[in-house]
This record gives sequence, C-alpha cells and structure tokens, in this order.
Amino acid sequence: MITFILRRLLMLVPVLVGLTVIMFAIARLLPGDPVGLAAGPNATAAERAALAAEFGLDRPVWEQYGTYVAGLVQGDFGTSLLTRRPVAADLAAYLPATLELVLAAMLLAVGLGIPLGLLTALWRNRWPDYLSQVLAIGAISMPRFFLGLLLQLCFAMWLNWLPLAGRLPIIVFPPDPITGFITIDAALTGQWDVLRTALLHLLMPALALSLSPLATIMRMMRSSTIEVMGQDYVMTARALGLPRHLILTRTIARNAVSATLTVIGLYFGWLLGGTVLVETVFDWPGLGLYATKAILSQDMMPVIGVALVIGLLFVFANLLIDLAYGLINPKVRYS
Amino acid sequence: MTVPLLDIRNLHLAMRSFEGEAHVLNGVELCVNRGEIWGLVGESGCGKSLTGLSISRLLPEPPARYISAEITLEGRDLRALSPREMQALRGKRIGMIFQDPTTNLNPTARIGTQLVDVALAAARHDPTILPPARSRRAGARALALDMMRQVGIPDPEARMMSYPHEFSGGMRQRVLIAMALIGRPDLLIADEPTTALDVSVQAQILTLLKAMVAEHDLGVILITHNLGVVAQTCSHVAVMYAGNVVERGPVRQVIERPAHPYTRALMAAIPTRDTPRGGLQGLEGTVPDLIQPPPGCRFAPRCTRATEACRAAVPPLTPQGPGHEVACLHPVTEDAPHV
Amino acid sequence: MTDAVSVPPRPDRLARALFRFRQSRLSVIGAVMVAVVLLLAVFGPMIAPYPQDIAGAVSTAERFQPPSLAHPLGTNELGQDVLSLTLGGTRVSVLAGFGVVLIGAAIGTLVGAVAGYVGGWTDEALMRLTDLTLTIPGLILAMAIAAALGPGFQNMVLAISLSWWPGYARLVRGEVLAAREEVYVTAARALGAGPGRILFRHVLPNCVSPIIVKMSLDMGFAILTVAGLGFIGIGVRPPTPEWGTLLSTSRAYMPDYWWTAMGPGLAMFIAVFGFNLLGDGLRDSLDPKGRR
Repeated sequence: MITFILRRLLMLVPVLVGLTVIMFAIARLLPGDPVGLAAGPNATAAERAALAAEFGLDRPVWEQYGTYVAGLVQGDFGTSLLTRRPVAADLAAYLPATLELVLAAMLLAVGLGIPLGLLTALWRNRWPDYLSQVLAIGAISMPRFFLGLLLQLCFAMWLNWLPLAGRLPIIVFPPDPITGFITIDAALTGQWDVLRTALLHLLMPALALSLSPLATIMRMMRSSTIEVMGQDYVMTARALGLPRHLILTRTIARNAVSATLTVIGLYFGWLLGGTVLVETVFDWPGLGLYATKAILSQDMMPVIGVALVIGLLFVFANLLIDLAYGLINPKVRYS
Repeated sequence: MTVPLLDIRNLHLAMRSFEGEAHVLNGVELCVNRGEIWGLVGESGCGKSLTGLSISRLLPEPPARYISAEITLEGRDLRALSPREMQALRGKRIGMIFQDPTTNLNPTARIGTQLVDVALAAARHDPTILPPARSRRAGARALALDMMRQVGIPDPEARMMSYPHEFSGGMRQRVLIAMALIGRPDLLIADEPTTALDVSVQAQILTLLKAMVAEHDLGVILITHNLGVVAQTCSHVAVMYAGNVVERGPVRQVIERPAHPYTRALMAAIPTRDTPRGGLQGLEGTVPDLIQPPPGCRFAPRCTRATEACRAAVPPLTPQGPGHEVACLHPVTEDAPHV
Repeated sequence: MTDAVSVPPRPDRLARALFRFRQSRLSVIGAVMVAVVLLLAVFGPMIAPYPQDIAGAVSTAERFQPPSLAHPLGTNELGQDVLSLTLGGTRVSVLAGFGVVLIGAAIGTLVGAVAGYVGGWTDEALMRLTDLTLTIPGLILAMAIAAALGPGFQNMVLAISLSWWPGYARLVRGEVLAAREEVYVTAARALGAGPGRILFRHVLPNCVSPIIVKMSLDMGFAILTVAGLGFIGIGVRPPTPEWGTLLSTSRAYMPDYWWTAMGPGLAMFIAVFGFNLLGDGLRDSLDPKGRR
C-alpha cells in the first residue's frame, strides 16, 4: 500500500511542472499585451517600461520561465491591481471559502447521487426510474448560475426561508480561523448558532453547484449497479442464502461504487470550475469571485494565480481519489 | 423406506426467448438420498443446469415459467414455500457451487468475510452449527477457518485476509465449496465444478467432494458433461437428453449396461486406447428444437430403434435392473461393447 | 444459416441507427427541440416582434413592463422586449457553441490522429500535453485564456475551444490506434499510400461516427460554457444580446423585475436540454451497447 502511495506521489511531479509551463505560456506568450495587462489601463509609459524590465521580456524565454517558477516557489504570484496586495496573500485568504463550498457540494453530490443511483437501478424500468432519468438530464442541462438565481428568487426573496448571499450575515462575527472553514471552526469552538447560520448560507450555493454532478453520479451509479447485478457472484450470494441487505451492500453496492468513483474525480474538476459562476451569484468570497472581479478590471495576475491554484487542487483531489479507489478495489494497488 | 432427501417429479419448465417459448424441461424425474452422489450428465442445452437452478428456485419467473413441478426436500414441498422461507433454505439446507470460480466470488470482499457472511446467515436459522465462542462472529470465524482446513486450503489464518484474485483457480473453487458447505446443508448441487480447472486440480476437487460427502452425510447432484468425472466420483448417474431424464441408476449399472440408445451412443463416442484412427463414433442428427419439440420421445428422430409408439408419447421411466430405470420403449439389453 | 459472412453496407447501418433512434421518445423530442432552436438561431432576429431592440434601441418609457400580450416576457431596464432579445441571443449562443465544438473537434482530431498514427515520442508528448490541459478545469482555463487574449466574441470562442480539444484528441487517438491495425491500412501501405493519405482517406472516415456523437453531446455544455463566460462578463459587447450577459444584467433587478431573467435563463435551459436529449439519443442509437 505504501509503495502505491509513493508511486502516485512521484507521478505528480511532472504534472505540477507541466501546470506551471501552461500557466506561464498563457500569461506571457499569448498574443495580447502582457505588460499592458499587468500594468493596467491607467499606467504611464514609465510604469510600463519599469514593468517590462521587471518581467524581463528581453530575456530568453526559458530564463523568463525560470524566474517565473522561482517566484512561484517563493510564493510570489504577482500583485493584484485591484486589491493592491500580493496575489499570494489574496489566494490564501479566499481559498478556504472556495474549498468549503466545493467540499459541501461534493458531499451533496456523492451523498445523494450514489444512493439514488442504487435505488433507481433496483426499481429499473418502472415509472420512478423513467422520471428520474428525465429529471437527471434536466439537472445536467440547467445552467448553474440560472439555478442559483432561481433558488435565490424562490427561497430568499419570495419565501424568505434562506439567506440571500454571503457566508455569514454581516452582524455575525466569524469564529477564530482554525481551518478557515466557518462551519468546522464554529463546531470546534462550540458556537452552535454560528454553525447553524453558516450552514443555512452554505445550502443554496452548494445545491446550485452540486445539482449537475449529482445527476451524473446518479446515472453512472445506476448503470454500474445494473451491470453488477448481472454478475455471477451476485447469483452465488443469493444461492448461498445471504440476507438481502447484505447482498445489497457488500455484494452489489461495493462493486458498483468502485466503478463510479473514477468519475467522481472528473466532477471535482467541474465543481472547481463552477465555483466561479456560483460564487458570483451568491457573493461568496472565494477564489471564483476574486477571479471574476479581476477579469472585469482586466487585472491579469490574479486570474493566472487562481487558475494555477485550482489546477493544483484538482491534481491533489485526483490523487486522493486514486488512493481511495486503491483502498476499495484491492486489485488496483498492484498496477 | 426412508423419505428421499430430494425428490423431483414431473418438472416441466418453459423459458421465454425472442423466438418463442422453449419447453426446456419436459418432465424431469430425479430422486437423491443422503450419501449418494448423483451425476447429472448430458450435452450442452439438455437442461441439467436449469434443473439445478430450479431446485433452489433461482430462476426469475418471467422469463421462466413452470408448467408443473413437484420438488420436495425430505418431504417438504419446495414449490409451496414463500420467497422468505426459500431464502431460509438456501445456503443452510441446500448448498450450491457454480462453474467458474473466477466470476463467482465477490472481488471486493476478503475471503474470510465472504465465508463468515454465509456462516452467520446460516447460524441465524440454526445456531448449533457454530462452535462455542465468545460471540457469534467469533464462532463464525472459527467455523470458517475449520472449513478452509477441511477443503485443503493451506495456512487458513493468513489466507482469510486475502482477496479472491490472490488465489489460484483451484483454491478459489475450494473456497466456493467451503462456502457451500459451511451452513451444513443436506443437499449440495454442484454445477460443473471442475470444468474450468486443470485436470490435476480436477482430481483433487473431486476427491475432496467425496470426502465431504462421507464426512457430512450429504446428498450431492454433480452436474457435468464429462462421463469420466461421473465414472470416477459418482455413486449414481442420471442421463438427460433435451429436457428429459432418459436413464438413471447406480453408476456401474448404467455404464456397464446402458439401456437407452442415447446412453449407449454416449458411451460409444468415448475414445479409448483401442479406438482406431478415424474411428470416432459420433451420433447422427442434432438436438431437437425445443420451441417446437417432437410430441413423443425427444430422441426418436435420431434413434435407430424408434417406432410409431415412441413418437406418440414420452416414454415413462421403467425398471431395467436393481435401481436402474430407463425411459425407453425399446431399451437395449446387451452389455456395452467396452467399459 | 448463411454461408458467407456479409458486413452490412454503410447505408444499412445508418438506417438501423435511425430506426433505433426513432424508438426512443426522448430522443425524438430532443431532435425536435434542437430543430426549433436551430430554426430560431437562423430566423430569430427576423421573427422577433421588436427587432430594433436587438440592434440596441432603447425606449425608457417602456422600462420594466411585466409580461403582457404585447411583451410576452416583459421588458427590461432599457425598455427592450425580453422575448426579442432572447430570440436574438439564440443566434449568438448557438453560433458560439458550434464554433467551440467545431474548432475543438478540429484541433483535437488533428492532435489525436497524429499521436495515434505516428506513435512513439510524438504520441507521448502529445498525450502529456492533452493530460496537462485537462488538469485545469475547463471553465477556469477558458477564463484565463480569454483574459489574456482580451475581450471579444472571437477571442471567447477561441479560448473555450482551446480548453475543449483534449476530449477529442483522446477519442480520435483511441480510434486511430485501433484502426491502424486493420487490414485495409496494411493493404493501403502495401500499395504505396503515404501516411497522410491513409489517415485522411481511410482511417479518419471510420472515426467520424463517434466524433459526431461526441460533438452532439458537447453542444449543450459548450452553450453553457459560452453563457457562463458571458455571465462573468467575458465575450460579447453590448448591444449584441447573449443569454449569459442578459442574465447577468438582470441580476441587479431581482426580485421585483424577475421576468428579465426568465427569458434568457429558460432559453438556455431549453436549448441545452434539447441538445442533451439529442446527444443521448444519438449515442444510444449509434452505439447499441450503450448505457441502459
């Protein structure tokens, strides 16, 4: 098991290097005016010249790349024109909110998607199954930002059941940042009412973000369950008199889930991408909102920084899922 | 006369398919007692697996449809049981082994877990199978270890934590046998248990089966198409053709004095050292279409001894010798040319 | 039983695929929806009741009218008819979606074909590039590229396409790898055909079917991505109507003028829903060992 983990970690290195190359390429080599973009629309000629020298645009490309990576390793992601702070500091500040939202959405998508997929497979070809198929395609087709808007309209503005936007109401103080997750921090410090309101704030954005992957996970789980149900070992389990609940969990579900797990990794990436849209709708102070505001002000460095961080998150998430897959499906450990 | 362990009479089964409904079992009759190993032989498609599955009621209905069936287990009518009552018998009174050990074990559960699950399920109905221990789970675990030893798996303590893919084919089949027997069933149905294994491993498994029968006083139905296996291992044999049991009886009787023309043809087809080159004896014709089967004896179209009476109605099983019955109106009485 | 093995000719396979397609009610509904959307994309601005609004006319007197007979979806903050704007936006969104899918498929097919056919280091290098492109979630990558390229419709389409091609590269590479072993390729080589000719005349035409299926499945998501970028503010400039941009501006006027969001939002949903149904149906009918 340990060798499996180590091997997977080792395969990360070229990926991380490649990520930086791509980001460098986008930032520096694309047609467009990197100096102009970094300096902003209101820079003077002198400021531009200074920046050009600082960027080292007259140096060979690979040297530019070297300085870029050196800067990254030291934590220098450039400076944001909008916030006037180092991008790295901004990224650190906004990351926990995005993580909290994405993890909540992932929990919803997996926690509801897998059981629903199992159920629809068991009730296959009867009307609940057919209905859920149509609903699933509908869920996948619904734009996340429109869904967010509808949720806000319905539950926040008309029914007044849920808060409209943000992580916490303005009047509530966030708990001491232990993990950066307001929900976990509130629970750890015993502030139950803060936890409650934080969860209420988290609900709609997480729902808007998770609906599409939930539907896809449900469909995947359904088809792999159907495939597993036709396998010989299920027949043997029945023939040997295993109780129905055990056949369902240990025999069918366990084998069907391992097939679905591989897709979950892909959807994590989709969720990370989608935070941009959902955070904008719900004023959720995360990386996505940060990047959106930066784009609108033509502030380039934050966008690159966000892309890099999200890329890193995605790679690590896939690593974790790979490891989890190795845990559940023992055959994979030896590949 | 003791009540037979398993008594099948009048088993008629139809299966729906694209082309129509096939009358796959045409009045199967079988009677198994404790301590007997019945070989159920026949070519592919003759219905032997379906017969085995019907005993445990593992066929989904549709597409299966039982036209008639009288199956009793020590006098208890299996067809009258509710699904829950049937489930209580599976694994506990009736054990089953299927053909391919590779696909019949749950790939994501450890061997020990799979054995313990079956043991616990059986113990719920009969706690006496568990040896005394501090908890049911501990008792089930001890039983699993014991079974693994009995079927000849070396180092069972360590192997319990293994996954199926870490075992060889022969070992996996031993595990399946252990799983089938752990609930102390009275009847074991083994569907081609050695077909997917090497010849040397085959011999080991068959010896194991015979030892299990002696140890636990089981009745066994061994479904196979291999007459060699039958001759080596079984005490009795039932020959099936196109959904009928055409001959049955003690194995030496049937093999030395085959009475049904089909059985004789089967025996004649087995090559021996003396068979000359090019001298393989086949059988003319093909298996009948089960969707539109012939009305009488289903072997009649291929039989050299058939008469009008044969084509009129299915011949019943009539005694031919001690314990030896044949479903034929014109059985052969000479000894087989070779054995 | 027939003696000779006969491979059904192409038109027969198509006929059977069409038959299977017609069997599924949902697929047919999807096809109808897509047909409507395409018609509206082409003729939308002409049948819109207030085409001048699409061009950018403003009539402040008519601001924020709720849905009525004159304006079935109401009017927005500039007094423009929401229905007309939505219809106009159809052309923009569908065109952008097509552009993304076509360019993405073109780039991906080229990369995949070369990688699959040439093999060796080229294959390794191209596949590493493909995998790397996939490590950054599509929307983020498109955002970064769009931000670097600058605003504008073409830049947005290009940016999204650059994040879209890896899927096609993988697909085509797989098909080419399989096709490379086929007898007809060896035969063509024996007759002296060069790799380019073999690729284009023989190998690629057989890959067309899965590519088409993927393109139709991708259309819906391409439209969503285009709208997503528009929602953030990247892409078209006003007054060109685009669903995402329209939705973005309508946010400020919630909840009182809720109808300004319904037009573009529902249009997005219906278009993507139709394309998804169609794509699912195509996949199930052209590849029978499918999902169900």
